Amino acid sequence: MLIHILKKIAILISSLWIVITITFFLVHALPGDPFTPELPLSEEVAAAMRRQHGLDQPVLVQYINYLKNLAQGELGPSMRYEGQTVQGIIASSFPISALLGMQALLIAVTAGISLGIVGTLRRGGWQEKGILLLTTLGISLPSAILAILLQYFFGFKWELLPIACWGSFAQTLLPSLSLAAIPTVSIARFFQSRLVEVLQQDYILIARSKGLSEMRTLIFHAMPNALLAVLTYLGPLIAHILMGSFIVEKVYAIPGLGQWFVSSISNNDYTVTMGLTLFYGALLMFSTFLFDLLQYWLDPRRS
Amino acid sequence: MKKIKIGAVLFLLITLTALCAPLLSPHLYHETHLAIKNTAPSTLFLFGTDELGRDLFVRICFGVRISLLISLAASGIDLIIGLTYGTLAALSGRRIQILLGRLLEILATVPNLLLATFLTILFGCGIRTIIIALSITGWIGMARMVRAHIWQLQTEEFMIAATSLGASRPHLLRYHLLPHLFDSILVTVSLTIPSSIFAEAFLSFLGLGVQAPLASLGSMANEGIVSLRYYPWRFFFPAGTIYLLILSLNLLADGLQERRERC
Repeated sequence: MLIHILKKIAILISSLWIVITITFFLVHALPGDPFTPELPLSEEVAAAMRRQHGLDQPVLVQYINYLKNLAQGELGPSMRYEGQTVQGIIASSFPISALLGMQALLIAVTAGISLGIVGTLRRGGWQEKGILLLTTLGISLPSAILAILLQYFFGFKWELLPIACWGSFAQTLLPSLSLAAIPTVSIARFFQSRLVEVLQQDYILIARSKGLSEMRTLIFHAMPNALLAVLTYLGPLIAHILMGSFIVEKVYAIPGLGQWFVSSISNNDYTVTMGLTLFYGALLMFSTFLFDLLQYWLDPRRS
Repeated sequence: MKKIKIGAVLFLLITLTALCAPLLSPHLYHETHLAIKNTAPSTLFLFGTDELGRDLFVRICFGVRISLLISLAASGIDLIIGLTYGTLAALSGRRIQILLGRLLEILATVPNLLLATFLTILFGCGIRTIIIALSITGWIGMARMVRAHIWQLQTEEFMIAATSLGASRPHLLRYHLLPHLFDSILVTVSLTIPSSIFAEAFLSFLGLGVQAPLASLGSMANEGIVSLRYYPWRFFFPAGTIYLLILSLNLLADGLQERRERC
């Protein structure tokens, strides 16, 4: 098992190295550099800035230098924002995106699982039909459109919640809801279909023939098995949702990572783009890996 | 079955309206009337007008055409690359299988936005670039699905029987795997179309989409956001159309999947 984990970690690191190599050459292949865009810099100043950041050297030398720094755990300074380091940007923005993501995840998992349970308990009833309608209509609603709708109605029309910005709990509600909507309906659907499948198995028949109530059978016997399947879905989702969504952050003016990432690309801020790609890649691969392990631990039948 | 019907009717309704736009309205999508800019929806302008006095209804109809063109082309490319890659990754030798599988994981991590920006600069803004940008990473989902499904099919008795009778790989693929894969491919395609409509809208949101006077649904919704407070219809109509389009395709996908599971 330990060897398996170590091997997996070695593979993850080499994958990340390939990702960072591709990203490095892609950002350097984009025309212009951090100092050519609309900045009112004189040619001499721009040249001095380039020299300072080592951009006057051949790309290959820059690549090796970048990897050297990386090996020492340095993601480098931002090239566009004097005095900001990539680590600093991650340290200040990631908690914001992550907090929002955690809230969204919490909403999605609780609401999704409860909807799934209610839908299964009340098969054929109006509750199941209502949930079916809700999930069918909800799965097609992009988070961007939902974010704008929520802001328009709750923030602007009815003035119930703050329209935008970051700071108080009330301000996190609308963005978390926008982020949570699609995961909620996907979890609800997925969980319910798994539950229905599990309920057909023999051990459920035994549980029922022992005289357990439907509720008890469902919660204590069927649910653990159905939850396992939800875990596979959660692995990639967590990395994705923690990194923040550019559109939702933009709509609600939240200073999260999603914003930094998009603006770094249009600003040619090489180190920020690469640092964030690396961070996201590591987060994605490790959370998928962790959830695989968790699943293996919970259900040794899967190899 | 009900879902397929509702989805199909909704989809046909939107597409037919989009195709018949010139018959339904006398205006052109790029025709500007500065005197009547930002008018509310009325019988004259069904969906109102935008900041240059262009008829929003006609523009949305053209937007549907462009969004559909982009997403259909992108899904077509996804299908071809994804199916080929997925089959190769599932049926080749063990080493190549591992290599191709790893490559899929790596490609899924390279940020698509970076690739899209790169392509836009390489080829310039336009429909062609968007199609390439969407399909350059879009096929990964299809490849994954095909690979996983083939692996699953390989454990079934009919496959074991065919393999032990000495069937060649092309034969296995053509007569044993593809017929089984067909339904799930159909479902995946009907799910990629809505996701490419959405991805195109995202690129438009960042200014990497189609350029004026052409408009896609995404770029129109994006323009509408700015004036949401004063002229809400400029956002609601394009966004509503995106929603209905995605909904109709999702309903189709759902219906197909349910039909598949029942067999």
